[in-house]
Amino acid sequence: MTAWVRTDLHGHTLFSDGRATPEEFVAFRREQGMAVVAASDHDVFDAVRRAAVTAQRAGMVLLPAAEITAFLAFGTSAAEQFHVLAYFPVRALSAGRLEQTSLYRRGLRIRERWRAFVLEWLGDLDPADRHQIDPDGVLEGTPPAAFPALQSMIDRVVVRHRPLFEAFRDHHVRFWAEGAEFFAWTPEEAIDVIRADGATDIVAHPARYRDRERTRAVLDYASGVEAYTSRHRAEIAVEYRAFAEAQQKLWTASSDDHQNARYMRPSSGMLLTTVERLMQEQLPLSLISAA
Amino acid sequence: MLKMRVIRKGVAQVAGGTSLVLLGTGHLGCASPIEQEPAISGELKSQAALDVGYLDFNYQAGTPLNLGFVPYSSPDEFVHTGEQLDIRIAASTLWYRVHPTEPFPTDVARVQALRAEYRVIFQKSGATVRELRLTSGAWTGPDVWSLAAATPTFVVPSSGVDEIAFEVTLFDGAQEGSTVNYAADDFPSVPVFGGELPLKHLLFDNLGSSLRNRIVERGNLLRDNTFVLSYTDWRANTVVDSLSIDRQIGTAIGFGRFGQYEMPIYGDLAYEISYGAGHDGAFGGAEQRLAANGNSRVLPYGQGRTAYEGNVYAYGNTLNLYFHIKAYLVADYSKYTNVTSRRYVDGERVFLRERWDNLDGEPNRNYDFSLENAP
Repeated sequence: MTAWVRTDLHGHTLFSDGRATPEEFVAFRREQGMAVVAASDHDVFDAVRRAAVTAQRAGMVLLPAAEITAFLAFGTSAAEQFHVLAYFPVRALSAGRLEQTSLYRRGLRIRERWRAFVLEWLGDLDPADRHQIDPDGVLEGTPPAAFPALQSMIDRVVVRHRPLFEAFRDHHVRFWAEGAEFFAWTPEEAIDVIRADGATDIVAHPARYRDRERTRAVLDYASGVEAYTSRHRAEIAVEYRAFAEAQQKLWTASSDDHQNARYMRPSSGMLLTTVERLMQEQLPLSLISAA
Repeated sequence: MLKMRVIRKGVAQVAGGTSLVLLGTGHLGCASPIEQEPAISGELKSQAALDVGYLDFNYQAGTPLNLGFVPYSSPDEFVHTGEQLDIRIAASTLWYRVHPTEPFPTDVARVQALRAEYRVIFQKSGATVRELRLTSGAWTGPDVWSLAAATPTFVVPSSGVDEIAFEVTLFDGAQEGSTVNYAADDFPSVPVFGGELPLKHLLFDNLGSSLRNRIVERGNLLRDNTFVLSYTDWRANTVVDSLSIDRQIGTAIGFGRFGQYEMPIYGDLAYEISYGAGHDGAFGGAEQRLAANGNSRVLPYGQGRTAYEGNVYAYGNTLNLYFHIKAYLVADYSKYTNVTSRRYVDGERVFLRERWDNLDGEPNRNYDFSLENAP
């Protein structure tokens, strides 16, 4: 008999390129009847503790997570981002353990670099354009923790000075392409750090990557694969699930939600055994939905 | 029989305290006399000893400065009179508030030059009844990333208090002039339960799919007294099965990192919640509407949460309650730009469904509460 748990372990908040607050992110999934959730922003963990508080008050489990950015062929014309989800055990939330990890510290540095990157872009604008986006000059004095992340910055540009949207969208790609300090590593190297931090690595939306051969090599190295996601058609999801089961790897089902998106998932959620592998502890019986 | 041994501490001493009180440091202005509730002996294993927690001074969404005091208490999420607390702040929070644009240093000794001073103001109906001054003293955590500074413990007065307000000064002892002051209005007060007796709070909420009700002050409701009846939005979600409600109200153009795209947009659920009250099984008057309260004392840390509340007078031996919930969809397009299609008129309030919430969902099976005389 197989036990299942209703989950969503991949989605974004306003701390990266999502729109939901951590509280809204968890509350939406609470209404969906989910038992275990993860707010997995790109490279930063700012949402985790807020989401954990909301989840705890809703009787849910919050898995500390982030979507780590690596690259295939960084710095070449064939460069493409490659994302690996890092799931920390629930116990990482206690006694500041999450904050001790190298990925968390990397996230803080990335956050600081993002602030500098945006301020540099603003500084290069025509003063009239800059005034439209930041009329009071408050961004200069905004600390990294409160500085608008990607989606919030896009929304700010669209609302305050729509003609600059395309310019900012095109410019922001350089944050990654030129961010060798943080992103010039292979997925395998990222996976090694994830494991060294005590977390579990799951390759995010594997069908998205152009380089199939390298993707297959990373999948062979990884602990698991995100099979069901809004980025995969149903038949693709089934293929990745079959691959994972044949290779005795983990497979997950998540939304990759950026704003309460509708998404596909197997009706029963995820395997209890997988959820508990990621949590690195047993799930309370009351949260197991079906058997 | 429960025996409690109470150790009375002198002025300016607190159980477990290390570097308690700063008087005349200049950071918090004029100091006033400090009183401290009797500390509870660590030998106790009583109900009172269970009420131990701490206040995390940290990011709190929806507050004026996105900063607030969130309690982590045992055995529930509420702060009670007589509870033993301390205040903790993460080193990174402290640093970024004092040095908002400077990178967080990796030198533990450098970070430990930071200090937080708190004026803890116990209030009743908005008036100060007692106050404490505490300073962060003990740093814990193996390295700079997990460092947190805690105050000595203190005990919430055992009566006559309904909330705690705070004034805070953060400063860097290694850098002259690096001081940030926060006034009491900068943070929401922390509600304290048990200090308003005979007023009690009866809370109907849920934990996941499980419906539950709690008397926050514990014990029974008090006969011939008024209590506050609260019914939460999340419970209403559960009872009406909000998951099965189609909340889409149209579509709009969204802008993201990959360009612009059409996205579904959603309306908000709104509830009308009424209760029927009986006394010793006799139901008389009409159902009474509960008022939506976005600033409820029983949901003080829930950004955007709503409790539906009313004052109810309890008499007889048993109070009987049931609830009547009506759910509406509110089509508010004003929060979206570039709306491309609308299913409803802007501002339209669409009736969706109604449900009754009583014990087991069966007719004539109400939630029953025994009453007792006020002490």
